[in-house]
Amino acid sequence: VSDRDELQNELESLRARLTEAEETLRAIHEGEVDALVVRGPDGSRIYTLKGADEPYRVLVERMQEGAVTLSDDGLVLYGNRGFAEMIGMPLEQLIGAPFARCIVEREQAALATAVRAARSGSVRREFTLRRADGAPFPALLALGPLPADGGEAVVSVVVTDLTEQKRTEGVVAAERFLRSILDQAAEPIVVCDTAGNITHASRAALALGAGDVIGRPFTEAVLLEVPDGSDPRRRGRRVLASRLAHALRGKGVSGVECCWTGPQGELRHYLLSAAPLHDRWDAVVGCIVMLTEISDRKRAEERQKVLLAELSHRVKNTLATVRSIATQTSRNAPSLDAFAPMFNGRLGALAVAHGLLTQTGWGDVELGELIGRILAPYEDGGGGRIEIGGPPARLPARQVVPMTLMLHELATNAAKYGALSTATGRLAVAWTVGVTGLARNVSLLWRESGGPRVRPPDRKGFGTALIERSMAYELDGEARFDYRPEGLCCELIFPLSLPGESLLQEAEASAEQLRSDLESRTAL
Amino acid sequence: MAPAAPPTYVLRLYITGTTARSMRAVENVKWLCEEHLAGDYDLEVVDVYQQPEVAAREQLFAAPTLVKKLPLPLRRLVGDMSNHERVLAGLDLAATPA
Repeated sequence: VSDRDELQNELESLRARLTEAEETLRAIHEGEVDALVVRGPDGSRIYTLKGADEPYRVLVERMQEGAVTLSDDGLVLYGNRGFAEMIGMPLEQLIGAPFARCIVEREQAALATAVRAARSGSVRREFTLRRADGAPFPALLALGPLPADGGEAVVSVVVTDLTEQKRTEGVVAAERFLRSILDQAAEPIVVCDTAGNITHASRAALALGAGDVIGRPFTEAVLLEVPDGSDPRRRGRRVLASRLAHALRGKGVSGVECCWTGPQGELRHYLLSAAPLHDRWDAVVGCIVMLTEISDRKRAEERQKVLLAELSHRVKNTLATVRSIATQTSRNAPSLDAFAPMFNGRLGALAVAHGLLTQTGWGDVELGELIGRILAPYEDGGGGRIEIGGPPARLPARQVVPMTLMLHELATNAAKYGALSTATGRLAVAWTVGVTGLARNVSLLWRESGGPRVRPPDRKGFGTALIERSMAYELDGEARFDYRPEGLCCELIFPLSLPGESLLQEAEASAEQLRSDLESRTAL
Repeated sequence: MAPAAPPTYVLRLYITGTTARSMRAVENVKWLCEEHLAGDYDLEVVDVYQQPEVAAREQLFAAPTLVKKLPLPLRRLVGDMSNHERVLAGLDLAATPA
């Protein structure tokens, strides 16, 4: 019985194992399994059946990183879509090609070293990859050994594109760079975003701003005025806003004149320039506004305006003098032939006066120098014919032209008819300055001798008339003629106007004003 | 059934990662255990990709495989366990009507 029971049990067990084996075969046959386990000399191995690795494949295909496997000699055995996109080349062309083709030349040796090292352990290193179009980009490569059948070494590579990360680093570096430029800039420089709000400002710009300027609209934070218009400040803001808008539309603006008034009322002039800021896709991301201070230039311009007005005034005066000389000369010249030398001589005297005035910057002219210049052409070379002497006397600018013209008349007269018309004639010009209080009076004596005998003229000549009139109306003085037989003697007496005369007049005027003010107040 | 007593059924389900069949097997086994074993079981799910050495130890031929270690006799069931009757029969639970 026991043998029979034993046999029965064994049969049961075999039947169960048979059922199990049949079940397994059925499941495999009907496609209910994903993998088979096969025992080999190195232990068991799992063979994945078709479709079972799909999720991994999808995972690898969908990940943004590039995934590559490399053969022993560095050929791409497998590459995912991410890698193909990164390199910009279809997978069909990548697989089977050397991986080194995707690395810039100078790093290929380093890649070979990394691939060798990756057979026995993982390696992480940054490389510069190269797209199919030649554009390089930074990437992190994580290389490691991959178990493979047949014992041949396969290296897996996970490629992470670092372009974005590097760009972020670049942005941070650029920001730091910009900051240092703005900190160093002497001129006010402001960076605005697309809404016209200030994002960055140089120290000089911060100093112009009313309070905290960062984050505020430029036109409100920095109160600049554009000259002219009914309400300059309001108008200024509108003009600036439209200029900024112009720059934000991608067009540059330059040379807008504006001014800024400080808390102490100090006025500064600036030239405003604005240029759009582009990102690397050429989109406008803001604008940069630069202010160049032109206050000095403005002041120079104003000084120039004053000088021009002054010059124009002098030219007008000179032309009036020339016209008057021309009229007088033509009235007194006996003929056209006689007119030319007379007129030229007088213009020459006028030129001498202008020359002296230009030398002193239209200031005072030393009387002795003026006389010397006028008489220089009449000196006969040996000297001693003309004697000039007197104390220093500075002739104010407005007296220079009439005095020159008078001396010229006296000299030409002497050369034509008087002492300077003969070799033996002599001329002495001497003056004294008498001081009475603030007033100083010049007495100048023109004495000819040794020339032809002199007798009083029948009628008053042009020269005499000019001298008398000039003395009376322009120098506020007097001319006396004495026709002595041995030579003409002419005395010119006139006051030197004081250098501070105009100041004195001003002081007197304001004193007068003050007095009348006081009077009107006490009357009230 | 004393709560402190060790579970009657000790089951091991061997799967291959997150494939559809493996997921289905996990769901089916979990459901069957809850329905028919009333909490009196210990189920462990093992990914043979992660622990290939276990596959050898358990003498597996394929995955997914459900192994009933206790009560004896040891039974192995291969497939995604979607045929519940067959699974119950394999676990010697066929006598209990579902």
